[in-house]
Parts: sequence; C-alpha cells; structure tokens
Amino acid sequence: MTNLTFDKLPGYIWMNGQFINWSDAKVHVINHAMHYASSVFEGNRAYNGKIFKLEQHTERLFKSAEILDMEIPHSVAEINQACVDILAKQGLKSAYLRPIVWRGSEQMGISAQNTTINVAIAVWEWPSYFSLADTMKGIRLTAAKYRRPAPDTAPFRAKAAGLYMICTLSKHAAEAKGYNDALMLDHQGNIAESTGSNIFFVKNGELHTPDPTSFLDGITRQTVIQLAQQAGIKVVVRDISPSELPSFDECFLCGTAMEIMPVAEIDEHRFTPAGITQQLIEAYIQLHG
Amino acid sequence: MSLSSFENKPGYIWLNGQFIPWADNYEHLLSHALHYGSSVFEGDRAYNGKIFELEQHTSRLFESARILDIKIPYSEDEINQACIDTLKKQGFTDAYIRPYVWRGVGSSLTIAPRDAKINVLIAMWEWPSYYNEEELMQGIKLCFAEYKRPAPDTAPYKAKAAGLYVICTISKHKAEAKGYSDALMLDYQGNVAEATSANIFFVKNGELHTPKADSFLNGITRRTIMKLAEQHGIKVVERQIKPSELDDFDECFLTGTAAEVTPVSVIENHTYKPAQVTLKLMQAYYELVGKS
Repeated sequence: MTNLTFDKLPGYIWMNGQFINWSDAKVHVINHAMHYASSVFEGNRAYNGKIFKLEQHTERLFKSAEILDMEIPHSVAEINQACVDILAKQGLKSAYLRPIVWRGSEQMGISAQNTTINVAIAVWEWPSYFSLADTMKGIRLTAAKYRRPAPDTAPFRAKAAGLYMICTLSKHAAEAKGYNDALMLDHQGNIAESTGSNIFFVKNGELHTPDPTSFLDGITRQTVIQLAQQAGIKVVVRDISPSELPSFDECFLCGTAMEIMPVAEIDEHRFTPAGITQQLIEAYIQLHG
Repeated sequence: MSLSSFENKPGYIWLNGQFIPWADNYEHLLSHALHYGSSVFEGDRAYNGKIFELEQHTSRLFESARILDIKIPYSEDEINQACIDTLKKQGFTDAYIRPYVWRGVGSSLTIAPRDAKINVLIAMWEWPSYYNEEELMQGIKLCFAEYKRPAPDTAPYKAKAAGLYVICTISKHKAEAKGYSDALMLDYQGNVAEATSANIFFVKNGELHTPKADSFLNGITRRTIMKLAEQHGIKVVERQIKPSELDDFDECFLTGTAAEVTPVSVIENHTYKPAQVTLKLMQAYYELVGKS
C-alpha cells in the first residue's frame, strides 16, 4: 500500500453523480453525518476488474440507508453503474470500493429530516497480501471489550458508521495486547463475530456459525454457507456459547476485506487451520476469480 | 447546497489551533469519523457573553475522547480559552457552542487505523430564545421511542459520542412523523431512560424523580437541576422508573443544554400539567445561567 495519506491518492472519487479529483472530494466539517453518525457504507472488492457481488452490496447499501431514514437520490442501477464506472476511471483491477451515503450540513440537531442525502464512491488498490501458506498460519483473537448491542437498541441490519465505534475500541484494545482482532459476544453472552467479520467453526467436519440476530449477516458469510453446502459440508446456524470453544477443531473469519481468514487462537484456545478451511478458501478464490 | 446550510455561516471556526473562515473548513471524504463514527462532541451555551459551565463541558469532552481512545492534542485550558476566544471573535452574546473532536485521515481507512490525525474544532452559532415562559409551560408531546438505550457493556454510554445518536435520530424522526415533538427512550431493561437528547424528570407530591444515569449520559444540565432543586428544598429521588408508573406523576420536564428546562404535557396516553415545581426550576435555571 502507498504511504500517502488517504486524502491525497491519485485519480477521482465519484461524488453525487460526478467524478471529482480525489483530493477535492471533501465535506464541510459541520455536517450531520460526522457529528451524529448519520452515514452508512459498503465495502466491495474487485477482482480482475470485476466487482464481486456488486448488486448484493448495493442493495444492502439502500437497505442500510432506509433503516437510517435516508432516501438515496439515485436508483440501485445508477449506483451499480457508478461503481463500475469509477473502477474503470481509476484503471484498477484488484481494488476495494467504498460507497458511502451521508447526511449533509443543512441541520445540526438530532432531527435531520431536511438534510441532503449525499453519495460517494471511492476506490483504491487492494492487492493480495499473503500467500495461502502464510494465511493458513492463522490470526490471533482475544475477547472484545464490548458486546454487540441487543437488537432493540441498535439498527444492527444497517452497515452504519455508528455501529463501528465499539469495534474500533475493541480492536485497539486487542492490538494493544498483541492480538490481531477481537471476538465480540452478543448481548446475551453468545459468540457473535469479530470487529469487522463473521466467524465460523469446524467440528467433526461440520461448519458451525452464530445466528446473525444482533449483527450483520455478511455477504461473504452467505457466500461461504453456499459454498459449504455445494461441497457437501453441513452448516449449522445456532447460538454458540464461549464455553464450547475447546470443542472446535478449526475456526475462521470471513468478510469482504479479509475474505476467509483462518484463526489460530482465541485467548487460551488453539485451533489448527486445516482441510475444511483450506477447501473453502480455495472455493472462494475460484468463485470471485 | 442551500444558503441556510451550516457550510457557509458568517465568521470563523477554530480548527486545530487556528481561526479559519467558516466556509473554508473542509475535511476529506475519507475521514475515519465519517465512515466509522469515531468522534465526540460537546454542546455548550453562552448567555450574555458568558459560556455556562464551560469547564465541565470541556472536561467531559476530554473524558469522551479518552473513552473512544482518542488523545486530544491540547490541554483542557487551551480548549477552554479557545471557546472563549471564538465566542469573542464571532461577536456573539447568546450562542450555541459545538466543540468537536474526530479521528480524521490516515494512510489507511480501516476499523482501527494506526495513524489517523486527531482534529479538534470549535464552531458556534447564534442561539436566541425561541419561546417565552408562557409558551413553554404548555409543554411538549412525547411518544415512546423506536429504540431502547443500549446496555452499558454494549456501548460507551459515558462518552458524548456521535455513534450513540444514530438511534436517537431514527427515534426522533419516527416521533415527528407521528406528530410528537420528541421520543421517550427506555433503557435496555425497559425502564424510563431519557428523551433523544435530553434527560427527564418527574414531579410527584412535590418531589423530583429522575432515572439513574446508568446507561445514558448524566447530563450537565441534569446535575445542575438536581443541585437547584436541593437548594430550593425540593427532594430529589434518583431511581429506576418503570413506564407503568407514568400515570402516578403530576409534572414532567426535560433538561439539556439545548432544551434547558422543557415542560412535557403528554407521553402518549399519559398527560401532565406543567406547574409550580417545573416553573420554579425553569426560573432558577434562567437566573443561574444569566438568561435575559
């Protein structure tokens, strides 16, 4: 990755229907989104010039906006096209795309019915960092500082900026202890997800994963479940208690950014990334091209 | 961009130690705060040229930032002085003051960026009194909120953090769509918590009752009102308040820097008559803050 700060990358950002020079894509510091976290976003990946699951991501962006009472002033098809166009304009093949929707500067109170709704799409290069052999060593997780909030206390189906606050805090605390990421429990104390990825466990050749009843049902999560089923691997979606951690053989995280990432440790528990994790990593790479 | 937008108000914003003409204060789109809710703020009021409880607000700003793992690159004294200087520079006497701290741009845009810049701004805008006492005493109408306040182990509730307001905006919009002024939020256990950005008090047999601030912000105005009540010989009871008790109360009001003391006349099917205790505290508050 470049050493440039993210306000100075080359090229353009698609902003409210236009291509703006990257460094000119700005918001006034007094805007509702920054002060009251009224923004939703997506994270897409492009592989070999093609955006993976673009339509699903864009549909979720619109769903997230609707949950936050924001009406996007474009159609789903227009946003899909804008993603394709900005990727081509940036001339990137392997890239991360960040569509974001936010409330503007017209009102600065809790209620913001009359703010403009803005949309931007930024794209940056995202090469493959690790070889399969490196990846299979697995990352290390520790228990998170915060739990996922109960469903009646957070709009958990929206990919909303405000829901990531406890993730940043939990990940910082994990990194300070020498871990790569944190494992969050849900409000009831069951295993939920890591700070930005869903989690899967392998036990006797079956996949076990928590029911996404208080956190985002990731697009990569859904893809992994499909791939497992196609490969004849049974998938069990259920409440998983932390007391079960010693009973699992393998563990991995999944998300658009990290794809499928084997986990070697969750605090004192050890896992050996093996056959099923590797099989799903290979199937995922084959699927997205 | 309409002319009434907060993008182009007159005067200056104090930004990272300098006065920058208001309309020139732009942040890049790929600022961490815009994408991951990594910001904290304050809301202060100036009355007759003096900022009320400035030091308390600034202390809370630093505490909020600390909770969000954000290190403010100034001292509290420097921020206090910057608030005073900006008020003077803007030439306001009655104003709303918005100190705001955010995690900005770095060399990556991820959940936990290593090198994102921490920024501080102080913006203020004029804030005259909109209503007189008589209008206020008619009271506002609340309905129950769509969302409850999250449990303390699921949210950094002691921080005045942007991310905690998402459910407030959604709940307030729903309330307004139903014809109410604001929404009453319960806490995660189902007890009465607060409005979307103001604490709540009830009056019963001449005593004040207010929920314990154990999952929501213990407002500076809330604490001020409790002190004023005690000075006026009004007993204050902090406790869990169940929605089933709403019929037992005679008066109800909200408190906050913006709301000051705002009487409530309706919480859905429960009605209140703003009366002596509310009026007494409202007047005592005006006197204390120096409202003309």
